Amino acid sequence: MLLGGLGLDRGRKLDCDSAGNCTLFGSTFKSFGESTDIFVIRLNPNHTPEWARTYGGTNKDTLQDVVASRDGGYLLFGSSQSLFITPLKVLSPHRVPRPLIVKLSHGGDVEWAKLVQFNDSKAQTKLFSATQTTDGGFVLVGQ
Amino acid sequence: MFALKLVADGKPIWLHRYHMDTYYGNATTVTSLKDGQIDIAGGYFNDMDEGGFLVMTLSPDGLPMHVTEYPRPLTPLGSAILSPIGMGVLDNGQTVIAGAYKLKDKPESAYVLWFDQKGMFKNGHIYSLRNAVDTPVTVGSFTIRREVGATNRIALVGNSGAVGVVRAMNEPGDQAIALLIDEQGNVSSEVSVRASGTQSTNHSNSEYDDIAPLQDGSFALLGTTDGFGAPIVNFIFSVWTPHDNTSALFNVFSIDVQAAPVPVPAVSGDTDRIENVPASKIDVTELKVSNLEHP
Repeated sequence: MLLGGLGLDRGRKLDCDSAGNCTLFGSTFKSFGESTDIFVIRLNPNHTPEWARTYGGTNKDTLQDVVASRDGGYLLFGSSQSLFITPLKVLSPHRVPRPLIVKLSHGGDVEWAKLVQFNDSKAQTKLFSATQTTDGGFVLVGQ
Repeated sequence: MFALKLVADGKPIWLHRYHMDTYYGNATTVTSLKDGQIDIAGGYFNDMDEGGFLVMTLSPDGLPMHVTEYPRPLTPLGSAILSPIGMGVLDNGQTVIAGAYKLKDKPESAYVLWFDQKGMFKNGHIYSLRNAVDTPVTVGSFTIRREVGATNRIALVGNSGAVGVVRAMNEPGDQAIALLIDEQGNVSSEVSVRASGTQSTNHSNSEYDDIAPLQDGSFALLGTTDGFGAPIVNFIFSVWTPHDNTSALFNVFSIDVQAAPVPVPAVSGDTDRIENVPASKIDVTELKVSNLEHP
């Protein structure tokens, strides 16, 4: 099945639980707005969309990878050029790409979010992978 | 390369950078071990195109306990570059690393390496697409997503050039592939799909980008396509039910790699560089989506 809109929707990661619900993660551009956002679709066991949401800031936000957490939620991480000074996109301020980390609940609500900024780094900082540790925390690695 | 630890509520606990003398490093995949330790795999290289990949075991505090480097293995086809893409731990404690395999002046292929419970190299295989002249064709974006159950089979997905014709990625005729690999490294089941339509390939379609097991033994697959009736580019979601078959697409080569322990000191970083973003500042938009597939 094809999912998305009339723009550019790129599927990247998915997770399926023991009940057969599958959550699809990717990014979207010009299907539902002018800026690139993280795009999440939840399918029920019959593969029918239950809900779909975009997540982002004032500018380009893209997904690198996703970790399913033991509380049923997800840790999303990728790159952001947004400023997050306002939830509105109309001003579209932006800055250099920085790693963005977003924790979602099982229902898709944002629980917390972080930006990683190494001011002394000449090269762009990127996150490549993450895992949940035995104590419930998360370790993320990058360059 | 660096590693960052956050607790469950997002508070940063530690941040470490890891330096290798004369080499650049990047940590491309990480997995958590049962005892709280952390395994990281990545690549290292220098300006003279030398390097290899490394596996680093960290303590729960993020300090290197042991680091092993694996210079480029010499295969019957030449010296190889192995780039880790995915890593996981099997039920039997073995660590499996999957990634992209590159020979000089030849297209990319895929590999899987097995390590025993002590982190020692056990065996490795290269999976190259079979074609008329028996050389690899382009394969990329392999992901390891399953290391479970009695069979301990590993599912990989990726995209390749058309069999028999060496192509650049994303050209018309490329196909997505998914395969199951058994404990001996043999391909026990495989599936491929070639996008329909003749649209321009500027959109980088890759129909199988990720794979997840379903309870009935099948797998869910997610990717991106400009075929199958997509208006421009959309998510493509499909389900694969593997049936054991002898691989028709793949040549399988065994490889050996030499290992050497290396010192990689950690330098603690400032966790103040982790900036909080209020959840209210993340714009969340509810959408209505439905299957766009043409009947």
